Amino acid sequence: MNLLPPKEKIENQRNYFYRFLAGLTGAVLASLLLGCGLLLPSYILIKAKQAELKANLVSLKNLRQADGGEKVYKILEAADQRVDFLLFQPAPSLTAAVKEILVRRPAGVKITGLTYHPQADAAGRSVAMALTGVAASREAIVAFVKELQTEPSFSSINVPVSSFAKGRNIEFSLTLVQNEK
Amino acid sequence: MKNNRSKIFLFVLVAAAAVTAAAAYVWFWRSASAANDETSYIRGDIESQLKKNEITGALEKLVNDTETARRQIDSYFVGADQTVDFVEYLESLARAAGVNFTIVSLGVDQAKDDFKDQIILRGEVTGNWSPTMNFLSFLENAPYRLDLADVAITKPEKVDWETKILIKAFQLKK
Repeated sequence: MNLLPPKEKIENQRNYFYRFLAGLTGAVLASLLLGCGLLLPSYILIKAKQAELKANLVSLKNLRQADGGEKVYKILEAADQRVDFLLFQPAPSLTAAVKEILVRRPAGVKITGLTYHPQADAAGRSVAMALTGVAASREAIVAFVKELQTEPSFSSINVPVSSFAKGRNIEFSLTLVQNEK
Repeated sequence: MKNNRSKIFLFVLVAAAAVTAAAAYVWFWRSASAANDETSYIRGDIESQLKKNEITGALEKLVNDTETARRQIDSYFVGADQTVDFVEYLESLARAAGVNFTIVSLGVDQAKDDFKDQIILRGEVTGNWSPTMNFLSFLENAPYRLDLADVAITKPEKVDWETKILIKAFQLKK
């Protein structure tokens, strides 16, 4: 039972409130200071570690730059380009084509000229060839064409009609396309 | 009354100290957190740099291991200063085949953004049929990447076979 006069009662309550508030604030302050105190070493350690890692990273980067890391990539890229270029096969062989033609040449046909013109298109690489020669008879030219048609790599074999105008010692021309096997 | 004032002053002082401490705590906490994040990123960067270095090391080994093969690849191209050697090589092939080989024109087509230029050589060959075929075969099997771009073989009356030939070779840039 509080027998104090009401004014003092109120004064006591106010004092209690101030003390409580001051104590609470003091406790908060103390815990914050404690927190700061505990965080500081962690912060310093993290900063030190960060500086060390940064230095490591820089030295790792410098190591490769000094070694010429970019140079290695350039060398390999150049080699790759060259291999790609060399892998692209040249046109079918001229001498092989000539052999194929001569093997199929019947008696009575003499070759006097040959042109070889490689060309590349969407279907691949091929060679446009033109032959000129002298045939003993029309039959010899026909037989020659038939023999050439048996070779699968030859296509579009054409003999102008004018080549059949004469009956003997015919100067003929013939065009064909040799495709890649 | 004076007692109350001093208590209030003390309270305000403690409260101000608490606010300052709170601000300092928040600052430390955020700084530590940011530093921690940055450290994690640096660790990631170091790991990727280590991997990159490892790959580069492996590539360096590959470059060393393939040096002979790369030289072999380069040998299919005419060297930057070896045009004369190349021409003399073609002439030696002609001599070996037993034909007369005359160079009509020789030029270099320089290509931009490419590792190579194109040597364009026009020549005339005269000789018997077999030597001519041998020479053409030598060209096809030469240890250079050569393209026989155009060949015309004719047999004029009473003389040897005549061959007009357009050769394309490839020269490494300096």
